[in-house]
Amino acid sequence: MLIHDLRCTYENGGSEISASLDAERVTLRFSVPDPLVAMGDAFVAIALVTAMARGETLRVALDIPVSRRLLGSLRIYQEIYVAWWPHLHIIEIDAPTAVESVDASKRVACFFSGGVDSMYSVVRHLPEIDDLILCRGLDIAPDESERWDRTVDTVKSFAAGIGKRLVCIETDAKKRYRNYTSSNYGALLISTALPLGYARVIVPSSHITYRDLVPWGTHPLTDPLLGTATTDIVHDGATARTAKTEFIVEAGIGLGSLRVCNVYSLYNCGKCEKCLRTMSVLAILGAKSAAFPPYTPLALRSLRLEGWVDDAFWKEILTLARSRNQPRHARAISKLLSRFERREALRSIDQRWLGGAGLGLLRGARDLRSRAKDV
Amino acid sequence: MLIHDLRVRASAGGAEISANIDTERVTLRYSESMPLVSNGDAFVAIALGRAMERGETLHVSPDIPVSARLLWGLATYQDVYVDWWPHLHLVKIDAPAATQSSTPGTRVGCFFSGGVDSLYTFIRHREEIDDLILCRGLEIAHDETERWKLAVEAMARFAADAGKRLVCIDTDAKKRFQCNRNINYGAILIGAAIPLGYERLIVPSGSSYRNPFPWGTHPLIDPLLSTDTTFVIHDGAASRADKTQLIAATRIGLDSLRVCNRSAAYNCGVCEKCLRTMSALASLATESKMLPPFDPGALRSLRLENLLVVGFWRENLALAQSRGQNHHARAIAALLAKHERRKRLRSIDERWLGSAGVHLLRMARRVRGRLFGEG
Repeated sequence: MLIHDLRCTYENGGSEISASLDAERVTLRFSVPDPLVAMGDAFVAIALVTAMARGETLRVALDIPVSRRLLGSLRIYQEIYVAWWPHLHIIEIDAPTAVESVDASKRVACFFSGGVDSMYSVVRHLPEIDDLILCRGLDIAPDESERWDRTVDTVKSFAAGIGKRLVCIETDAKKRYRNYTSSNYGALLISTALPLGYARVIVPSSHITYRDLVPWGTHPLTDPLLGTATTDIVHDGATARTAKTEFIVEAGIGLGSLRVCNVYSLYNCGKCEKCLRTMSVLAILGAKSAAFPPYTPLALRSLRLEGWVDDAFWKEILTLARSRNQPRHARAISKLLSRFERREALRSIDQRWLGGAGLGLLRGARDLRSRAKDV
Repeated sequence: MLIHDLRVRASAGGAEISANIDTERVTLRYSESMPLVSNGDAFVAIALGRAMERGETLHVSPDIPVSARLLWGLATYQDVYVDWWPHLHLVKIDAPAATQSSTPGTRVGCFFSGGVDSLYTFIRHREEIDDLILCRGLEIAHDETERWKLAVEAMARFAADAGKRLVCIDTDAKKRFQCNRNINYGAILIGAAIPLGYERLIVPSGSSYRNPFPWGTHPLIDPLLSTDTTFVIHDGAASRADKTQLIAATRIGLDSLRVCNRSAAYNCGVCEKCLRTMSALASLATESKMLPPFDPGALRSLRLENLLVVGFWRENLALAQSRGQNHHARAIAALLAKHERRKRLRSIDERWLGSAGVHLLRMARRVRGRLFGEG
């Protein structure tokens, strides 16, 4: 793969950096006219895992320097990725090294989606943070215009309320360079902020502990390795989600701006697992947020947990409900967890003794039923 | 706790930096007369673990600046440590952040003990490494004069052959500020080299990226001790068998192996660590003049003490099997089976006898020791 034809432009109060990755043009657009770091760092981060999956050398044109620090760290980054996902290859990165200079920038930015993780990091580092970064093209797709507009409005008023600047970044890198089997989500996210030349960029963690870290696209082991001569990457706060919510509630900041939902076309649907998870914790803590509809534990009756990650989150919430002496919440969550465990036990028996035939039959029956309804 | 009275001075053919941590004077002595970075970074790294044990704010005198990058890193460092070892406390670090941009270092230093991890890292980064760093006062104690002398002689020979400079560090920091179970080993090691102002300081890894266990030196935490001058790189979390294989392919590596932590001399050839290395070399059909030839019969009296060590021997078993060394493989398999039997017995003893069996055994050993004068 070859990264070439790097361009920076400034117009309409914003700025843009783009480069070609082979024949594909990748563009990062910024809502602020800040001077951009005209280097290949962001594009190397974007292309790396795709090049590793293909086993191709990643070449950078001679007129596009890449941070020496980043190049040094990417060897370790690759070793970690290959240890996690052995189908990837360690590849060579053939790039001209930038002469490092100590940058005078002292600005600190934090990625901000409005979710519990990012709200926690913002509240925690409030005095140090200058800018909140909201990305379009990652968890909000480029075609979700209404959702994007509403999110920008809410985050903008939140940022203004805490005296910070909102920087919106639009990227088209995910469409072509997201690798789902060996997630490079963190690299795509971090790449968007590198051209802005911050001293530090905070990546709010979605891990709940440092003890049993699972391989993931954004990770305390790998994110800091995407730091450049100019910018340190800080992976912040691998802490239980309940503890984060409690911290936000106690600080009294941002409750009304929480945006946790990934399924709703507007803001928070109030029905999905992620919304209910957050609403349940807020209810146990006796807190209210204007960002969610009213909550009752009865809502958990129709909820279905999809995997062990969900299970871990709800176990945390159960512990919180018990410690806060909220038996009604605790009972509802216990039932939810028991349902999941029963289903998992049945699935395990089905897989072990019936080779998954039971699940196949169930799916077939559901399919037939929905067709019969259609008819 | 208060860090104060920082002093830097040139000593006979070397340099020295010292500071008071409360009333204890901590000194770092270097065998080379190099300009030292005169700030509080090293002493903050050294004192932090103890402050976290005590739950005390770590104050740094206003005339001793501390790197902004280190202060940021230590916030996450503390998060990780408290998560791993919940008896520790998050503490405030009340230190003046360095306001002047510091000049990044230009040289690359690598900790080097002559063991498998450091030889592997050295071979991988031979071109870029300028200095090899050997520490006294950490794994080689101050009173082990003969062992230190032998290590310095061997490492000086190795460095001269490789065209590198050997820098010896003498520190009393471990004696005074080592935490319970040595969990801040990495911070003291790295802290001791921070004043040397390297651009990159490489810490050879003893971990694996797939399942890194909490430890004093770790890919997650070592880089968090980076300063405005120095990037700390935790390098080469590969399997020990793979590392030995790379070393076995180079004469310089084989002729310099120093793996033993027990011997007053160099390598005892009978401890677990010596046997582990000798076994891997034997499977690779090679040997080092620094270790006696391997006799699989020696494994009969060996006892594996923890899961980490068991992991190393599993790797050795896989290596012996892949190389068709059936005789070795059988001996290692028997060693692992013995460990499994002991583990099962211990588990039964704990579950059904409340560990009475272990106590009886210990008592029987003590009686035998007294009667027959055995250790």
